[in-house]
Amino acid sequence: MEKMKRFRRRLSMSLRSSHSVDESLSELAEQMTIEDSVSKDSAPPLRRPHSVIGGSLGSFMAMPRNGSRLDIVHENLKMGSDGESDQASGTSSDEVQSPTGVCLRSRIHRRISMEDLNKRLSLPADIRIPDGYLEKIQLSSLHFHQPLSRRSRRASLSEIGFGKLETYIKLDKLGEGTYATVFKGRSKLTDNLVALKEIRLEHEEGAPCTAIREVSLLKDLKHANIVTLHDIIHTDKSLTLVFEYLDKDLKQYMDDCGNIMSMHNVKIFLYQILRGLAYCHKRKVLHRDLKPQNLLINEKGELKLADFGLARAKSVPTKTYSNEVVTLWYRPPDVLLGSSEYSTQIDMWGVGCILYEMAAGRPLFPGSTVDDELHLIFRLLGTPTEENWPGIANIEEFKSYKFPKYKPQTFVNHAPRLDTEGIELLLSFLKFESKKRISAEEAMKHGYFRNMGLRVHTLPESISIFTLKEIQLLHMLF
Amino acid sequence: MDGGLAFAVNQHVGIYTSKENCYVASNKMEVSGVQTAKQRTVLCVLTENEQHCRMLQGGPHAKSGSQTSVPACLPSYVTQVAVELCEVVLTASPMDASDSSLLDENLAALQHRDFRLFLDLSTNSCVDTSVESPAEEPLALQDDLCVPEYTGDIYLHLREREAKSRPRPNYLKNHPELSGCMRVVLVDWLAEVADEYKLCAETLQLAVSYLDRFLSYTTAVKRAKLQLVGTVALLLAAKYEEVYPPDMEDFVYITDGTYDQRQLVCMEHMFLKVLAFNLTVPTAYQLLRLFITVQPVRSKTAYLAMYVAELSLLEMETVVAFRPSVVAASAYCLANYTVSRDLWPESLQEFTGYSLEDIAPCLKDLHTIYFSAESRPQQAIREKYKSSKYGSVSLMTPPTALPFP
Repeated sequence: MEKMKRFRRRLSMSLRSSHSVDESLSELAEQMTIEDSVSKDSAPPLRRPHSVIGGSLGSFMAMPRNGSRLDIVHENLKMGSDGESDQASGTSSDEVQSPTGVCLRSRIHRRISMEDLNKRLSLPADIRIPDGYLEKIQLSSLHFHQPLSRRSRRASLSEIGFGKLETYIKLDKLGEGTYATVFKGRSKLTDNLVALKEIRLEHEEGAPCTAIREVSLLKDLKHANIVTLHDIIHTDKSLTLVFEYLDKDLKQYMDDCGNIMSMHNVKIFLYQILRGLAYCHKRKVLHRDLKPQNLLINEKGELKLADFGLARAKSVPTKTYSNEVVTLWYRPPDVLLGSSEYSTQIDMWGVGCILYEMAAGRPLFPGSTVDDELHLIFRLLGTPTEENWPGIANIEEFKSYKFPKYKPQTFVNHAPRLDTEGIELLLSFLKFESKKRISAEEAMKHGYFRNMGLRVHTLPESISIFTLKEIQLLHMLF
Repeated sequence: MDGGLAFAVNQHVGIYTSKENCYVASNKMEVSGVQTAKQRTVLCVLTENEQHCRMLQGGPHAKSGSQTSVPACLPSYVTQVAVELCEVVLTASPMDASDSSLLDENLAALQHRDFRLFLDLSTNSCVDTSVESPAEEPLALQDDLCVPEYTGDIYLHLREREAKSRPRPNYLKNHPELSGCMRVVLVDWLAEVADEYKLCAETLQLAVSYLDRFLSYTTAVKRAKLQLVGTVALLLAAKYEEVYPPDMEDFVYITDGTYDQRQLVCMEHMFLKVLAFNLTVPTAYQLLRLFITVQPVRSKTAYLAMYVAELSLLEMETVVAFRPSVVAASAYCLANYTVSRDLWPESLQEFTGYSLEDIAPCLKDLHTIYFSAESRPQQAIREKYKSSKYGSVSLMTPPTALPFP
């Protein structure tokens, strides 16, 4: 404790200047500009109106401040970067040299069209630019075709409406996630539906770990089988993540087809799960909470992994923050027995459970407690022994349950619709020892997927498998 | 080791400027026997060094020393806040053209090696020949997350990411009130806090990475707020990495109440905006664990490499000049040399694409840092690694010289 006291004082004393300690944070922000390396002569073509400056001020800090400051025009405004520098060197590293920008420069007096703007800001084609915005950039069109710096691009995006709560209309509540409430919404920019994941911020503790992890991981994950994060709105009351909207989750999908999915579609869905998961695992990201409710499906049949809230957490919670119990059905036995092992193979057990559920139309191990869950697993696969799970006899939790010695059952009787290769793949997901479980990458090469062709293995990450004409979903909802 | 020697080593390598002054200044203090209370020492070192730094670096510091030259920019920042987040909408962030082509080449070369690597691992040929008594000294620190099948991909990904999340060189010139020596004191303090709260090695590495990037993208941070920035960097790293991160209250406590909870929450908000939530970044520690997974070493070597990688965090010059993968490779190499007089195994040359020549500048740099660790005033990291938990590696005698010029 003595040591503690010493060090907590040390830096505060050495770094404290003559300013009083209780300076408000407003002062802090005044002292701190966010700077960008873009040189002044490539000044942003789009200047922000003063009203924006005043407006967001109050909403951000909600603190008393020196009002006169609001009217100061900062000609040399320094604006932010995203903290993701490309290069540790030059001042021009933030310039985005777009080929369109370069070739258009000769036709500089042409009227700027919506299309130009979309290209320039890499916006989706269907975006709706607010009235008057286009007129405004016509005025500054002399600069329009100059290379766009990251900061001016961002300023432009903000003017268009990204990052603002009022850009999205909240519709129905879709559900309560493990740490957030999800609403259906509509973007005023595109008229597209979005999913708004609203995370309430505790005033005392700041942003929750789950949110911090989910956002920073998703920013790093761009894949056709992972849900896209479109926008983040961070206010002092809440953090709202704007995701692409997908019609239903796998659970609803299975319900809607009366729990008899076409085996053709089962294969296509499983492949997409594996494809998304292999991408995550290659980036050292575990999902840790795979279940049909976290696999979203759109009308094209594209399946996307969602809900990365637990992705990095080393311990898996058993309750949501609204106190619902987290399902145990997809948890591997090693985790149920308290293993804190942190390996990509922990996701693979759940994939097996989901494959079975799609094929059989009912969950594989619908246990209600840890004990129950383990019993269901062992009753089907046999109680583990030192042979198929070395070290099991020494696990205290395992000993304390005193499981009867179940014999493994033949799987074919339980999943009659799966062919031999399907069963073989299923069993390679359901290995007791995590390191023996097949990896996502390997599973994609399994004979079970042979009839999907070869081209599917070489698709670029961001391309949907349905771009291949040989892969088509069977529509047989009844 | 006496101070003179440390100084001589520094001169020999000849890459430090202000840092040398840190050492000299601190040694003066010790010689004159004023080390009654550590906090006083640190305070003195800080002021003294600051003067040194200012005199030395002249120009920018001298001119912008007065606060009035800094525009009061809250409004610009605050508008910025809304703007910051839009980055999320963007597609892949563009990399510097010249760099990305270089990187691509590297990556292509690496991809080529993947297959061989996979074979190596699956045939167990990766067992370290230097392991003398595996039963007594277990192989340590392998990364569970790195399934052999994925190590190549993970490495490629980390290399790609690290190029995109670099601090800016000379970022301190935009902070007239801050100096390199203050950063040294701050990082040493963060290391001490991290040790006290038993935070993972990775958490400290992340915190320093966040700190440097935050300071790279802001200007005119006040000296009185530097500790707040550092504290929040650690807070965010802990929230990201730890199973049980300390509470906000703990972070208020460690600053001795210098900042309150509200200030921490506000700063956290600002921090996330400045970094645009890009908290998933490679660190030397992650890469080190990956290398150790690929080419296992004895636990002593592993801890020593961790120790050296952690020491490197103190030096802004090192952090700015070398990417985490280079620091990790050099730390591995230096530890390997210190413990078993080996250097850079062929398997890792192939895996990483770095030859010994590639990492030599960083290796020399780390050697200097390692060699002079005992004599510098910042002892938190050294203290931590004195513990038997880490094989007491910081008590080992560093090699006086490296086996190449």
